[in-house]
Amino acid sequence: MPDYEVVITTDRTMMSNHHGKEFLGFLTTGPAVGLPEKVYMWLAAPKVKVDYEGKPIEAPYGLRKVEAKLIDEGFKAAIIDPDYLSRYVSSVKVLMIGHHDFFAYGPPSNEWWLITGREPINRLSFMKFMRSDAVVEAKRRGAKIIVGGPAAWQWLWELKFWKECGVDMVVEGEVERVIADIVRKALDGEELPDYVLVGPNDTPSLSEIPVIKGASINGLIEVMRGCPRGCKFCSVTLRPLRFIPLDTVKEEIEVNLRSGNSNVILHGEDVLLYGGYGVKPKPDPVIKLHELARKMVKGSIAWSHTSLASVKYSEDNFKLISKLMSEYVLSDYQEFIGVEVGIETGSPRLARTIMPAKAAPYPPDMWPEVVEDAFSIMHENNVIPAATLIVGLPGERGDDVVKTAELIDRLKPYRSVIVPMFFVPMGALRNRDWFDKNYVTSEHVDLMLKVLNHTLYWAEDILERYYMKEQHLKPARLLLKLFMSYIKWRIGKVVPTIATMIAR
Amino acid sequence: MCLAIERGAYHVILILNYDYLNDEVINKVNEVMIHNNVRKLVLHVISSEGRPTYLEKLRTVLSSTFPYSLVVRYWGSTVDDLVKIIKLYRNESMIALVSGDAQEFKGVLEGFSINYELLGVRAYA
Ligand code: SF4
Repeated sequence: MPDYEVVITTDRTMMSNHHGKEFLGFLTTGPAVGLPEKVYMWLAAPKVKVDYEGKPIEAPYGLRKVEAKLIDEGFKAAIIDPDYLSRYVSSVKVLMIGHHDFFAYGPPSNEWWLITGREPINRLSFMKFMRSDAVVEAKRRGAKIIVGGPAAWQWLWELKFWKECGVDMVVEGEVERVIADIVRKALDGEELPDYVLVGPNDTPSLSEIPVIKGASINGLIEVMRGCPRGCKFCSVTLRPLRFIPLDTVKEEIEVNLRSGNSNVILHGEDVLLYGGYGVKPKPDPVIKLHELARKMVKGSIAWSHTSLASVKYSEDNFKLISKLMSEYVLSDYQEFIGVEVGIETGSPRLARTIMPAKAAPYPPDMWPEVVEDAFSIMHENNVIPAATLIVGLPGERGDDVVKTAELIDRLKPYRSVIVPMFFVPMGALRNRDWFDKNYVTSEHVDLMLKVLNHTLYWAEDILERYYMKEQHLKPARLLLKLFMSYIKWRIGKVVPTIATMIAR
Repeated sequence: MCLAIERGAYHVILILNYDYLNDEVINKVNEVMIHNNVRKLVLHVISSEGRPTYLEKLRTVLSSTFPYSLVVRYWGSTVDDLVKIIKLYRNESMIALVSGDAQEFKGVLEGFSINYELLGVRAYA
């Protein structure tokens, strides 16, 4: 057994391929309602296959990047599955732990928490992992604990737990340029700072971003970093826009194929902007990207995120969505593509204020029309969006919420799931009164019910027509159906209470 | 002892004696960064609250979308700890921000000719 001095890991809700279905991963952001916790965990985050050293065959992409950088810099580093960490407590000197949502303070976990009043399983699972014998023992033997990832900031709200776990350092931002230096200093026993926030000037250039050494969860690979749209609530947009060259994309798909991953998720904040000019998609690079992916991958191609403006612009001007779907994406193995998109608001006034370039190259006043047209284009082409809304933004007025609700009505005919995200001040999560006080205006409740009905209607349709049809996924599919029926039943029960709230 | 990301940074000694106005720190930090045209900042914290509890007071600062890198180091709570920072970073660009009434810290800063500004002056006036 090799003596890894640097071990990179996370808890089970992250170290899982969610049965090969990214959407199922969303279940980890809620509490185990309607099912026993163990069954719920199996449904949302089953264990991954590991090799003889306890290294997962698939691991989160962010952890893969850190691993690759450290290996390239000569460290004895590896990603280890949380169940196998105990094997390395005597060799590990630096224990690195990453997560998208350590304590469930991010969306949609915080919504589920507020609505149900119960802690989501990602939070419970992560805290349990940090208190596990393996982590405690590694710390007792002197390992330095470094935590990081997009949710690093959440540790600032869990200072007692930080102390309990003996976390030595929290690092936030794109770390490729700085991580080897941090680990070297940690191994040399130097005093580490408590918090490092890597700013735009220290973000890595393309040549500093390594190629992953092992497969990523569900074949996710990055095709771009940054976003030029400049929404006010988003930190991604502060970083420079970089497109990953096709050669690197090819290498990373090959890494995944070698591990038996026959699907690919193209990851970027706006995949249709790959190789584009500013906020305008350019067909050629996007087509080349898909041509490459389809040539290499027999299974499914997915996009992580795209913008609705890019969908509309690329279809209206180049028929790009229909071309991509008919020539590259849809196949005997794939009937649809899933993608995350941001609606955020249906109010042109609010759009102008908080996300003036989200509709670009169209004017912000056209935002509701851009959303509707993009949804229609996606529906026609078997693109299924999981769309977010942001409710309760500072400066939001009742008429903004009404406009959003009207937009949701107009989106009724289009296959999609819509998830409201509450703009939640920290500290509110442990205080349900705050939620009741701030989110039971009649406009909010009306909007949320519309969203819920929309999502439940289309979720059933999607499950019926497209999702989890594979033979081996039958038990998970059955459980998911059961879970959805339970949610519907629960909602049926709470609607009268909500009506009373509105009347108050 | 510093990380590569700290090289060329502007150093701010933050003496957190009392509660202070978060916005004021953010504004002050921004002012210092713009005035000195720097893109990196190291906050050296002196606070009696201990590690990592003192970070509670820096939440807003760390959660605001600063367009630069930020490193936070904790040194302790005493005048000796302050002297240690000053000696180690004497040749770097540095300013101290002092919250509340901290007479002995101010004396040390003056003794070493370190520029400092008081935070929350209006709040305590
Ligand atoms: S479009 Fe999305 S990624 Fe881009 S700035 Fe807006 S919220 Fe951020």
